Amino acid sequence: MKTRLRIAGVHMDALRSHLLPGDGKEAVAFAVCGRLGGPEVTWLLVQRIIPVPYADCVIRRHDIVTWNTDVLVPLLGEIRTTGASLVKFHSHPTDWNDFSRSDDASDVSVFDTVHLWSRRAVPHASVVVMGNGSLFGRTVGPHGDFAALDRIAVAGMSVEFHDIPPGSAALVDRSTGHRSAVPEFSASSAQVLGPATVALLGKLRIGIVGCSGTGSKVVLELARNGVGSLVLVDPDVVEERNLNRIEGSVREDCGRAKVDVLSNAVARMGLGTDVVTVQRYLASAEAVRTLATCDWVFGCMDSHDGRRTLNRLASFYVIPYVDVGVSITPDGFGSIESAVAAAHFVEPGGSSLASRGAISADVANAEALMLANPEEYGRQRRAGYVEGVAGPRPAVGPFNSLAANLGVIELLDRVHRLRRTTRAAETLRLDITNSFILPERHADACDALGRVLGLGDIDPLLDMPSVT
Amino acid sequence: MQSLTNSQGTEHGDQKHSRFPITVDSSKYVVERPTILGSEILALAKRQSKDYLLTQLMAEGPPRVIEPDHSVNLREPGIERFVTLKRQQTDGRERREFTLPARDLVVLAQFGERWETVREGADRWLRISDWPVPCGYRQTVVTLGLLVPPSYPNQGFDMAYFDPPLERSDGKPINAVTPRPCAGRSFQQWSRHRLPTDPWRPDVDGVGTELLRVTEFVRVEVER
Repeated sequence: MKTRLRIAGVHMDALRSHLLPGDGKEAVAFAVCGRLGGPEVTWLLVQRIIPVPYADCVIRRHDIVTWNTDVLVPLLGEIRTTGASLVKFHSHPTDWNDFSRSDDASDVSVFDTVHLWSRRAVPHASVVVMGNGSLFGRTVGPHGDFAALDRIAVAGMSVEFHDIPPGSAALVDRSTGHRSAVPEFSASSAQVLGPATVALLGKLRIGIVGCSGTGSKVVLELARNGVGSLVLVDPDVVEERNLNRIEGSVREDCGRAKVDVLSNAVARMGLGTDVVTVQRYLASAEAVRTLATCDWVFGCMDSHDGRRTLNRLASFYVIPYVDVGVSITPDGFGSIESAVAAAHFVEPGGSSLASRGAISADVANAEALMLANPEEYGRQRRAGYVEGVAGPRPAVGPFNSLAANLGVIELLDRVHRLRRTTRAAETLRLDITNSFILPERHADACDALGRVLGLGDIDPLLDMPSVT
Repeated sequence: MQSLTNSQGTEHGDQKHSRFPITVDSSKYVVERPTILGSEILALAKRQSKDYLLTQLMAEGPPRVIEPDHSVNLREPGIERFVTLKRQQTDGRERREFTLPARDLVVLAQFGERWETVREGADRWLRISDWPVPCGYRQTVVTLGLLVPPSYPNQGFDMAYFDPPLERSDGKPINAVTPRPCAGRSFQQWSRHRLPTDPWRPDVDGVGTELLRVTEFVRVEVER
């Protein structure tokens, strides 16, 4: 059983500032974690950070920290009640890239107690934060047995994937050499992004929800960039009116499931991307469970309700989320009043689509009702309780392509770890009518989704009775 | 031990044997006359014949059912042990056809087993039996229904449904109520919506806060 860890950017920032305050000395912190379970991999999902105050550290030096365990006591009670996992973090300011013998002794001792308090076999882990920014870690079993974490993902303004086991954090120069060769079809990309990023794409699993005009373009673009595996979610079949924009579709595909059409198109490329198709609505157990295992999700839906649910999923499972779409207002005379393509980068624990005003709760509620109970929706609309939900929307292929590409560029930009002198914008709006790009920043985190960060698998899924 | 005094004279029997100890369920009583009716034995155990059967344990064979108007002769040799049996039992649990978030289950625990989650067509209902009605109404407890919207808890509860319908003690009509048929019953629908000053907060509000809100608007109605 492999174990991985996901940390939201806001928590990683708190960890880094506590563990590496700049005084060159080690420090310790804990995290309470939810979980995502799977047949081969278990993910630990950070819900909150509990730092061990410096005052509680009897000794703090560059190579050792001795700390009082009082801060752990209330956490033991909590994990016994809730069944949560505990992760211990400590720092190696001098970039020692492995666990030391005293690290081993401390982990064995602390986690022996933690396991005795856990009610059943629950995984717990120990992670080192290095001064150079790298992370590595291991699970600590009830018998003091260690197993390396095979991925630590940080979903912040930059998205980091630390796949390096303890002891092997060779400092790899990302711009030039890399141990593994890139496939020939990615050679041109590697000249821009570097072999490390190209190799990383091959190890990612990416979910795309909504596989129509915009989604299809995202899917095929990712496949051409050598992404390791894709999860496609869309309940619909191809109709004639979709043929103007579903990339990879042919006339004979009318009546076939959109996810199957795209899966075939990816297979025909022969570039090695695996595809999992889910021909269900997002708010279904199969879609939620499959998407939760993704390292990244794209939302390519028109509906506010779908985007609200995907944002919720991304917070529950600590996954970076890029939402793309086009908003078109035709002027009724054969032209457009406005057309804006937008890409939203949504980091778990940050601002949400709702808190940015990109989706409306009232519209989302009306859409959910219309889907679940059309009669009741009709009744409430006539009684004036809900607004009318838009029917089939106008769509123009090239506008969708713009939005799709803005989204894929967001992914490349944020995993490539380009240096940035200013904090990147969360939203990019490309105003087609007026020919300009407008970046927007959204500093305030969403309180509502902040409450569900890292909850992971619970019953009902996403805490929503309708997800079955 | 309790005594039954000689209030209904039937037989004037042997004065020498005037104390007859009997056992009903697990309690002992002394009967001070030789005969006693089935209904009187039940009354000793504070039970009524409409709700309970009375059986007499026999030395051999199965227990004998004692009808309420049957007169038991306590002078006959035998085991004077009686056991009551409730006439009707209800088995089966309330329905749980979908799962609510954990914090709602914590709130519902106060109602024990007396709540259910039911799917009816495309609707999801939470129904709580024996919901206590605030003062000012003829009913003291009713079934309260709440409709669980498809995107709960992103979208919250709205309106409340009562069966039987609530009636004010003073007989005045209630504002903004309409009958709503559901599952062969008729619920009284109260159109009481949240105002923008009191919006539904996903993951903060839940069954707990909604029960408070419903109690409040029902209470406020009789103060108009």
